Amino acid sequence: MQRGARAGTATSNNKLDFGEYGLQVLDRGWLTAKQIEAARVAATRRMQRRGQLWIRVFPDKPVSKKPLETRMGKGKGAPEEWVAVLRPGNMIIEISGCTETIAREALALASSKIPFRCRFLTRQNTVV
Amino acid sequence: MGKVLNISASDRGQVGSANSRRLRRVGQIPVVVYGHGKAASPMSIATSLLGQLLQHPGLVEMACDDGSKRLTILKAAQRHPISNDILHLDFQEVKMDELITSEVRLMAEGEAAGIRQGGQLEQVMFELEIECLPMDTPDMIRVDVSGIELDGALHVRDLVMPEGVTAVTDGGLVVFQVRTPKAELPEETEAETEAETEEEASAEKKEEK
Repeated sequence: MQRGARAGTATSNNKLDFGEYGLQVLDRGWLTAKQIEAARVAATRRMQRRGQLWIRVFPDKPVSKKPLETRMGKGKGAPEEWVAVLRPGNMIIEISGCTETIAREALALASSKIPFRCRFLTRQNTVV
Repeated sequence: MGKVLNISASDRGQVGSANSRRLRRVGQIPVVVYGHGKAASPMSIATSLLGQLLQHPGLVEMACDDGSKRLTILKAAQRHPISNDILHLDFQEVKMDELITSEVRLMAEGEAAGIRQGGQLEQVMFELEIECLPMDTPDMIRVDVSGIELDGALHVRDLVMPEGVTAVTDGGLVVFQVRTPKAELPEETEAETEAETEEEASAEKKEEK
């Protein structure tokens, strides 16, 4: 099946570039637009209008699927969803303007919507 | 600032990723020293020095194999994106009477006036590029944010720099700002209601099938 390569680790979008706290993915795979939106909603709800949030991934890859109970052939299936390709090290969400406790809780809720292992990063432990 | 950290470094004969990997396996970190028009010299230092080195923001004196001493600053560090381990370090050779450019961290001090009016403080810039003599390099620049009103901003040109230090970064760039929080909650509630309605509709269709 031609689903593209997801080898290696993230060579870009792997650092905190905008916010003070971030959520970094440790596995590889596809993150659907619905999952990204669910994670965003979960994080912003916990932040309660405090701070700012950046989504660092964009679902730009269409994934097609054949309808149920369809025989093989008759051409490619219709686009079903859009996904972002993630490699270990990619930043998914960045947050700033709130306390570390709130950021941890918000990103923990967001990570529960993401089907990969994630970790919390702060600027203190990434700056040289 | 003002202290000089002394470390010893040895020349590494071979360069390249495979040789660097071998070095890391035996407790060494590959580094490069450059500056003053000289060719870059690939060297290595002991991994045990890293803790000290990364905590020390100022000058580093490297004692080389040939007995020479080189005064340097830590210019860049390359980390592994997952393990966060240091993979490689860049040192720039400096002269005590020569201006250097480096990046220092910015930290807010005080409570912004706009916060009391219901705003929230945002740090837009985390590091500032400065020019100064090596001995004058500050560890960090503390920025007094108490004067920022609601919907106001503090620019690079407004920063009070330590003596002998000038900012290289464009003066018009924003460092801190106080913004009114966005009212996002009602939109989300609507979006969720729509999503729930869609889910219910699709569930009903499945049941019909």
